[in-house]
Amino acid sequence: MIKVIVSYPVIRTVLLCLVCSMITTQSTIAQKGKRGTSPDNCQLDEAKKWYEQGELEKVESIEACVDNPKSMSREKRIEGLQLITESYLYRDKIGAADKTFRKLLKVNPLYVADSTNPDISYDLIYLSRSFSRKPIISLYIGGGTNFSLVEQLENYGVDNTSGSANHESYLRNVVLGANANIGLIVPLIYNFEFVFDATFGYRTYAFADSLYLSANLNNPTSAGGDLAGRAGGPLLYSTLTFNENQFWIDVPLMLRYNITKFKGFLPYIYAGGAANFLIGANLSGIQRSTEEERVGRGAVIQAPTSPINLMEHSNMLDNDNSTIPAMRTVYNVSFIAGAGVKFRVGRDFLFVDFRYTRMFLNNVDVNNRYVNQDLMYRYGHVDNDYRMDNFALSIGYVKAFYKPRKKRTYNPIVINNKYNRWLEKERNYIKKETDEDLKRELNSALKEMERQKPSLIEDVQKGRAKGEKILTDKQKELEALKNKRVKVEVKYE
Amino acid sequence: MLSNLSKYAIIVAFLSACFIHSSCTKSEISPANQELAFIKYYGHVKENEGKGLVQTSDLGYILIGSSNSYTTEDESDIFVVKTDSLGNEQWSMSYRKPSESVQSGAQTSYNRYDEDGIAIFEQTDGTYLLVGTRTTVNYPFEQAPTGTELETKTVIYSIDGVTGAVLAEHVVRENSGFDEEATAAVIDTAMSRIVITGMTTRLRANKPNGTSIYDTKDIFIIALDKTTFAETWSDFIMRGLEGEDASRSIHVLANEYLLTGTVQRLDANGNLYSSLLTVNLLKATGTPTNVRYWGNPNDEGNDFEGGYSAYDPNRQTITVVGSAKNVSGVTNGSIVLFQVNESLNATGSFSEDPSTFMTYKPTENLPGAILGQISAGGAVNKFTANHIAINPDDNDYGFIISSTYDIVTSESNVAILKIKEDYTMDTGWPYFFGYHDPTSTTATADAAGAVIPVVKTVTGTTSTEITGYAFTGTFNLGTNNMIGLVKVKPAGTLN
Repeated sequence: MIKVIVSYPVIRTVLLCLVCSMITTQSTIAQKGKRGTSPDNCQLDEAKKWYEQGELEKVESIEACVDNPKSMSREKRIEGLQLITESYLYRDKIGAADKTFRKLLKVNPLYVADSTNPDISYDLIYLSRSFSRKPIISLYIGGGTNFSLVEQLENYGVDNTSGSANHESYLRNVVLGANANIGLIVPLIYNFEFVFDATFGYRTYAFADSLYLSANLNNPTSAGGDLAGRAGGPLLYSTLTFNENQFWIDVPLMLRYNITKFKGFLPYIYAGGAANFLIGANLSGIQRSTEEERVGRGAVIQAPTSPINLMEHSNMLDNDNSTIPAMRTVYNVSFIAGAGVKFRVGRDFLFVDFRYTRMFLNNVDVNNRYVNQDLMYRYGHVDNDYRMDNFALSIGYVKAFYKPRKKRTYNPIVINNKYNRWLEKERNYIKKETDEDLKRELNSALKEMERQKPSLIEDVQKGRAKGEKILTDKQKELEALKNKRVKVEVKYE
Repeated sequence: MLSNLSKYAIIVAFLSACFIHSSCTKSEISPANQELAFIKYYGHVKENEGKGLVQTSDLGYILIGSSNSYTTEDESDIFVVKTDSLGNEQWSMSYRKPSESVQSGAQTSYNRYDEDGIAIFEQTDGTYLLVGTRTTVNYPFEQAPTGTELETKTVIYSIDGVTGAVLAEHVVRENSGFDEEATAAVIDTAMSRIVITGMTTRLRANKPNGTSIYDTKDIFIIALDKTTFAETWSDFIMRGLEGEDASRSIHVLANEYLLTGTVQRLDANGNLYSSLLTVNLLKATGTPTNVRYWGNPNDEGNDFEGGYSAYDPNRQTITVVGSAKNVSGVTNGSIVLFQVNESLNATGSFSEDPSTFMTYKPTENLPGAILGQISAGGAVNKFTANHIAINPDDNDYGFIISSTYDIVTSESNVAILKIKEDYTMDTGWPYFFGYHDPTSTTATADAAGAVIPVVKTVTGTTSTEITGYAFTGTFNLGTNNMIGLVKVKPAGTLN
């Protein structure tokens, strides 16, 4: 057995720690239980008075409290962070002001300093303007309906495929499909974005074909007889109809341009390309009917009980384990173009989108055109080569994710690097200058510009000046000096 | 600069879209590669039947058969379809004697004519000669629902090669009191003749074994001038035994004609059986010079059908194909084949004994879907050979056979078989064409017609190559029978 001897000071310290931890826990529990309720709102009201009184260090002391998301309501935190930023700006602590403003933007990524509010300083307005409010990335989900148009590329078929009789139609009825998509939006420069997408599309069209047998008048109707009244027209005799249903996964990559001149909604246009994967295709409702010209008798071959599968599948018959190959190509590529409108909902958007997809490749697998006995010998159908266009209308929701960052033209690091590169380039130029007077003048000007650089960069950081404009102005200044050479006219006698 | 960039980007994107959309035009014209393989149907709403097929000098095709699609009457017309090399119909025409009232004493009745096309030949002047049969059907009055068949005669049409219009028509021995039903014909170019064979009810007298009640038809052969249609032999040549005999093919040799078919005889028990027949006939007079019967060297009673043949003038051989109906040692429904020379002597190891014939059982190499149907019950499982052609490819010499393949009752497909030079079936063959209902609830009876190798001149040379095989037949599309023309690749497939 081990004896433990505890001295009195140890006991006292332990007890004191226990009491303190209990008090702290109570306080924490009290704070956790009530979100945004710092007992005194982080002394925000007092901080406002300190600001008025010029006690700016005291203002900045509430920053730790305001930083705590649970300290106050969101609006109060914004107020607090705005006040702290103003304080830093007043004291010319640009870095700190920058940092605090970024915290403000984390709370409200869409915050803009109101230039019409007389209580807000110009410094804060300029600083506010130097930050981008575009999402760093967005996700969207949508769905809608679509309509397909088929373009026939080559005309195969069990009837006469020469001539130009328009006896086939891929628009027998207007049939609508459906689509659903999820996507990712990555902003680029200016108002351009990359959009990556995965779209599930159910696309369908209604086909009709009247079997067309005679290309010209040289058929039995021209000889008179019972069909003499039909002479002069193509001899159609049998109508085949079906719907083809296709299930696609599209993976497009698009470049989108946003038109930002409107408030509250954001029109956009885009274009790009996609890889398309066909995951299912079938013919449903296939029917062929004939009708005798004069007596109206005819016959109808109805559709089988289940759609005719156009993808690779096993025969599923007794004693037949053969695989029927796919009659459709599994892969395709397409051009995509579209337009839409986003409507802001808080930090996110609702959108309405119209998309045109133009597949380039033949939908039909030319190596398997003649694999389906049903189609060839019962319904009298052979696939034509065709490609498909699709028009889709979707609505959806965009979830935007923000990260406070400077606009490029106000980014001090970027502008500083550009400025340094330009200075270096001019120094090299000056070295080659042969005119000593000009060389001296240029060197002097360059040194002055170098001296001005910190304050210029500070102005950029504050948002008071655009970095590109500063650089352009300095370049013009130096060019003006270079051009200020004395022109000497030499007269030859 | 930014706004200009965006503007230009938008304009370029939409102009590209417009250009791409407008640059593609819809094609209604047959693709050139459709020559490789295709399926085409001809005819109209009612019943159509395909029999004969020839590749024409313009590398298209001309088909002959029958159709009652162009009339409200039940009787058929001879139907001819001319196509291009892609199988697209260039023209089609139907031929039939117009129905008419006939007076017999005080009685007036109504005749309709049922015509069926058998063979077609392209002439050097661009016209075509058709051979068919015409059966007179007599009705008591025009609207009578049923009629009585009277005579069946052989009919020949000469038609224009561009329009199909009739240039001349001739009925062989019209009103002779006998039926003469043509089954095959050949053009003897050297003698400017058309030689026709078939079955006749005018029976030959003095048969070796006498006659029987089953002796209803003998074989006839007749030679006509192909321009005037005048008969060139002094008499109508008949041939046959004591049963129903049939001729199937006729060929022009150097000095003789060679005919193949079947002859039917009675065995000792009074059972009828058919042997395969080969006959040489003198060109000058039509007199048979040599007759041989195949399949029953000792009168075993083996029963065959068919007797179609193909003649190779280069090798001077005649290859005969038929089907085994009931042959000892051979599975019923098998394809049987043997070969003779111009003197009717068997070549190689063939002999009159059917055990030396090349045979192909109907149970071999069937597609799974057909096997499935057969195993479900009600199987007929039988080949009926219909036509044979030489495959003249020096590197792939052999024979191509078309056959009706009966799967189950009321359902049949067209089977194409390719036999190699060594008389074995080529790998992957035969191929079957036609709808077969795996549940056997839909009856679709397809029937084979003629089959030919498709020949094309090699570009820039005078030599030719085989680009595949084409065959015709009757395809039941569920609504009605259509004449089909199927062109397959050299491997026998459509894909």
